[in-house]
Amino acid sequence: MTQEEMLQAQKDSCVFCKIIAGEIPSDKVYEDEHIVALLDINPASKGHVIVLPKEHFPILPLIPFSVMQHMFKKTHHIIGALKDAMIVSDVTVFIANGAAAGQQSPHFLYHLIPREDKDQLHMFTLPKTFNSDENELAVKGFSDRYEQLMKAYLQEVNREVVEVPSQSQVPVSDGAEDVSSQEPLDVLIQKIHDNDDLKMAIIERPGEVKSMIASDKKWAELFGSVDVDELSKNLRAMTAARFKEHHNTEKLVGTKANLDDVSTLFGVNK
Amino acid sequence: MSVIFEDATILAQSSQQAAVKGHVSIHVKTVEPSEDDWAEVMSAASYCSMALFESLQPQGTNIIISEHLTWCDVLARTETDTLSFQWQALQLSKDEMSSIAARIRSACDQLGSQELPAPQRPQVLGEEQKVGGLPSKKNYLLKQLRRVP
Repeated sequence: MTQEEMLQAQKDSCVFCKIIAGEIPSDKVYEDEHIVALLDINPASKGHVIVLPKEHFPILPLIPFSVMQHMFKKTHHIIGALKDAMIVSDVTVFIANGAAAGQQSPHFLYHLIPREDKDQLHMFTLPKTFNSDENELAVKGFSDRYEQLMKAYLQEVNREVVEVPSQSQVPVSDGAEDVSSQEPLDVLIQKIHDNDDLKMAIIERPGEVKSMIASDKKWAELFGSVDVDELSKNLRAMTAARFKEHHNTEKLVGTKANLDDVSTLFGVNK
Repeated sequence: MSVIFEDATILAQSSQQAAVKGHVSIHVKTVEPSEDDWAEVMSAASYCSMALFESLQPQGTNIIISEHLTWCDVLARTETDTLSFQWQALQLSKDEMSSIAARIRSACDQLGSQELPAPQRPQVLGEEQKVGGLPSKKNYLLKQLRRVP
């Protein structure tokens, strides 16, 4: 049997191809020319949806580029709809390529799983079970190939490749930098970088930080025209991501910032 | 920690909390990702999976995206590793499934009828990204503040 014949035999017996053709009933939630989204009959949570291309492809790399891009873009909108419909704030996307990874269907698909605060889906919080140094070596082994693939992708979709400083170019602060020679914005960044109380105050109590800026000249000089609300949002996201990286948990420990301590930074009292 | 790719939208690096040999974490920088950002993140994960297959010859790969598209993990899988993503399926009645499907379908229809926002363009080399009113400044620390995973 040739490869084409094997693929055709696989298509002929594919349950999902029959669902797409309407031969087997399903709870479809979205459908267009290229893709379909339907409720998983073995849901991990309420509203668990699977997304699949209408044409039979056993694995992701075989899907034509234009269909893949369409599917990924539509995922953005289906997730938005899922959040609205199921009243959840987060949805986990889960893709399994290969039986060892948990792929059970010969028709490529992926899962959109609405998440709730106290759900029992701990399997998506990954354990640290492998040596990080050894992982780093393994990952470095394909970094050139990955960069090549990504550059080709960005070119294909007309997104610009943005050069970023390599790690060797990144200045490392020892925390003892002379701030007097820095620009005002650099001083603020350095203060935030060096002082966790200030950082937590901006994240947790942006309103009070703004009051301090409005009432105290030194605070006003330090923050200049910075949008504190936006800065707060960005810092929160950055801190949460770093926290997860180090502690492998989604919870950000709520250390209450002490604005009195922060005030001493600038020689003022709250 | 080894950065293997970075652009205006993503930063891909070897995971510091490796679950398996061949664990890449992709941080997403955009605060409110557009559909183009979603496509890039999922494509980046897909190409990472492809590169993993070519390099380490695993028996499978997983891609997990969570936390409001702030984070994506790509994992090389073997039959002997200790990971498992099996879940206990909820038992829902046919009526309940139909009701849930109707709600999601309705939400999908509403989204489909809305005009989609213009896709955000990535920052180009030399063009400073202005976030939160911060003035333009080439500075690594500033870049860190703007780097919203």
